[in-house]
Amino acid sequence: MMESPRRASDCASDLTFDRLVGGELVGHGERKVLDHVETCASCRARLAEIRSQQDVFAQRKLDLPPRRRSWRRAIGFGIGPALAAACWLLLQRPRDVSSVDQGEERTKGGSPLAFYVLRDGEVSLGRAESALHPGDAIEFVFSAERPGYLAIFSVDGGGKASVYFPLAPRAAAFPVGPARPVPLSTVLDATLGEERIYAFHCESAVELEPIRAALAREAGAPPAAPGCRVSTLRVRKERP
Amino acid sequence: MPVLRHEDIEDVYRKHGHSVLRRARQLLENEDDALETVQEVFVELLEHPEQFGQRSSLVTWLYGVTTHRCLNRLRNRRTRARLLGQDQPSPVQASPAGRVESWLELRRILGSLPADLARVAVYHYMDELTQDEIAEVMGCSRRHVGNLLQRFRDRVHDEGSGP
Repeated sequence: MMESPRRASDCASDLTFDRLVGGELVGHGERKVLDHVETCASCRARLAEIRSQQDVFAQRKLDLPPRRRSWRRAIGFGIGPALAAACWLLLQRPRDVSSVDQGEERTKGGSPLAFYVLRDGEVSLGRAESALHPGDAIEFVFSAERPGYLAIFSVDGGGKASVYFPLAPRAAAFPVGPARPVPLSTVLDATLGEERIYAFHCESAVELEPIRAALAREAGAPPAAPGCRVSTLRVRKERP
Repeated sequence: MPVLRHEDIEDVYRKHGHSVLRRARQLLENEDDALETVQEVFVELLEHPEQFGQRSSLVTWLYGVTTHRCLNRLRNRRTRARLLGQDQPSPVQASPAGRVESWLELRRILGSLPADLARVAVYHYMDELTQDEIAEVMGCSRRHVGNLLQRFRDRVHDEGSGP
C-alpha cells in the first residue's frame, strides 16, 4: 500500500500547496502549480481543502506561555516615540546599486536606513560607526520614497552573511514614508568586529538567497540586483 | 540573529499554522498531542528564530520542526509503554522486497527508528514528497535521501524476516 508515493507525477504535494497558500510560491513556480490545478480535479479539490483549512485555522488564537509574553515585551521595544527624531534621517536619495562606489562608506547621514538600539531598558538612536554590544536589541527604520520591496542583510565580523529582514525567501513589500519601522527586531549575537548592514529596496520581490550568498562571498561589495537600490550601514560590535 | 515579535509570530501562525496542525494530526493521531505540538513549534520559532536562519522557505522549516517534534512524541510514547510493560512488539510486516505495507504499520515502527530514517520515511510514505522535496526539507542532498530510503527499506526487510 505504501510502496512508494502514489500521487501522479504532475500532481503537487501538500508541501507545495502549503507553500502556495502561504505565499511562498511566486512567478513561474506559482504559475506551474496553478496551471496544473486547472486541469486536475484531484489537485483542485486538495487545494480548496487546504485553503479552507488555512481559513479555519486563522481564526484560532495563539496562546503563548506567560513567561514568553514578558520576554517578548522586553524585545519589542517599539520606536514610535522616537520616530519624529528620526525624520532628519530622511536623507539623500539612494543611488542605483550599479552606481555605488564599492569603496565608499555611506553613513546614516546619507542613507535611508537607520536604527534604534535597546540597551539596559534604554532606547537610543543608533549611530553609524558607534559601538554596539552583544545582546543589544536593534530595530531598523527605513525611509522609502516610492513603493517597493525591502530586504536587510548583514555581514558580521566573522564574515557570515545573514538575512535580517524579512523572514521569508523574498523581499517584503514596504510602505512609502519617512523612517518607517521595519517590523522585526534583532538581538546582536556574540560575534565581535565590524558588521556591515545592507538594505535592498527593490521594484519587485527579489529572491534573498542569491544576494545573501553573494554577500557571503564578498562582504564589501553588495551584488548588482536589477531594480534595487542599496543602502549601507557599518557598525562596530565590541565587548561592553 | 533575528528576533520575532508577537505580531510576527501571529502572522506566521495564521499563514502556516494549518499545515503544522495537519501533519501533527497525521503523525500523532491524537488531537491534544497535535495541538500541543503546534504550540511548541511556534514557541520554538519565537525563542530560537536562528534555527530558521538561512533556510529558503518557512514552510519547509515548519515541516521539519513539526516532524521532529512528532517523532519525539512517538518515541516517548513507545518508551513509556515499554516501561509500563504495555509494549507488545511484533515483527514488521514486510514483503520480500522490503516494502512497508501500510501507513499504520509504518507509524507503529517510527518510534523505534533512528531519527533520520524515521524522518525520511514520513516524508516519503506519508507526505509522498519527491526526493528533491525531501532533500529540501531535510537540508541534505538528493543522493543522501536515496541512501536513507534504502537503509530504511533494508531495516524494514531485516526486521520483517528476522528470527
